[in-house]
Amino acid sequence: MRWMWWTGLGLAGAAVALGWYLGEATQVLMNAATVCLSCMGIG
Amino acid sequence: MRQWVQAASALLQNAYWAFPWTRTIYQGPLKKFCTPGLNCYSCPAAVLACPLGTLQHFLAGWRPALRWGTYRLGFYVFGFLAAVGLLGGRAACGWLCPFGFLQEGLHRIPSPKFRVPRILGGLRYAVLAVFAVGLPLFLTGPLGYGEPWFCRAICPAGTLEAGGLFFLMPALQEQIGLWLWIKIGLLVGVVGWAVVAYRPYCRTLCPLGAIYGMLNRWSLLRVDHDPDRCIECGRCVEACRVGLDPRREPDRAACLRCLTCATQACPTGALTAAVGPRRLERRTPCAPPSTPGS
Repeated sequence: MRWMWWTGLGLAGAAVALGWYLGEATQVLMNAATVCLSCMGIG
Repeated sequence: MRQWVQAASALLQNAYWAFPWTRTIYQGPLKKFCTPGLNCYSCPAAVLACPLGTLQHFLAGWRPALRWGTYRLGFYVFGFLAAVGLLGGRAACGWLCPFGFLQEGLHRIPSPKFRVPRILGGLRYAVLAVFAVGLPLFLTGPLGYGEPWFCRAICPAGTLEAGGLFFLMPALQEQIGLWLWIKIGLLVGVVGWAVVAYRPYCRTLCPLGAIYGMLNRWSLLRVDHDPDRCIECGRCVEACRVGLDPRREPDRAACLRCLTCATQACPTGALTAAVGPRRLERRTPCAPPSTPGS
């Protein structure tokens, strides 16, 4: 059954790579690099 | 050793100490990457992105992403959370989370100590479903965007860490409203509770812990129990800070993977910290003993 674990990790890695390809990492940077007013309970 | 790892993790995740002079948060390329633990990215010192905040931001933008065909649906953060969970389960909580580390420090304050009722552990799944997933996804504005409701209404780590901005940016003080006071009340409650109970926030409210906990059963880092070596002394049960019996439930979602039971408490080596994909076939029931003459 170990193949299931490796499949899961492979899918997770593929999802990260797909997200990076779609530009999600840059979107993370844009979200995180501005002051999140919601994080402070305002806005 | 774990406390040193926690301290180093907290410092590394919050390594931007120029903020008192720049009077703003870190905005460099490291924030493309998520941290495994709960660490608000509006903390002035934070250099990495909070995975839970990131998850909510993507869920809040699902409808516009589909409408405009960008398809930025959060594959990045879903994959990240799954990978962290599959590798360590809740080890990210036990070893890397700065807010968990803070609560452990608070718990060292001398005071009467109380248990956290086990039934409250289910609350974190409700918080995950409602505040971290449901509301950001479905409670949308006219343009189709939702909001990170867990950050806005609950997250005590965000209140504590991002609260420093109120001193750095006085203009923000004019915007203090009801939600902030609710969050401050929650933070005070969590801090007080952490003095008298061990990591209560992690065990009852944290949606990130809920996600990682669901993967404890399949994580690469695990606790193994060898019943042939076990003398049933119960020291592991006494040592477990979250009230588990590691002999019988080493993979429970509540286990923070601190590994105290295996590395410090067990005198016979019956409990061991192991690394490697679990052989799931071991969970199948044992065959009945053969009868003589059969």
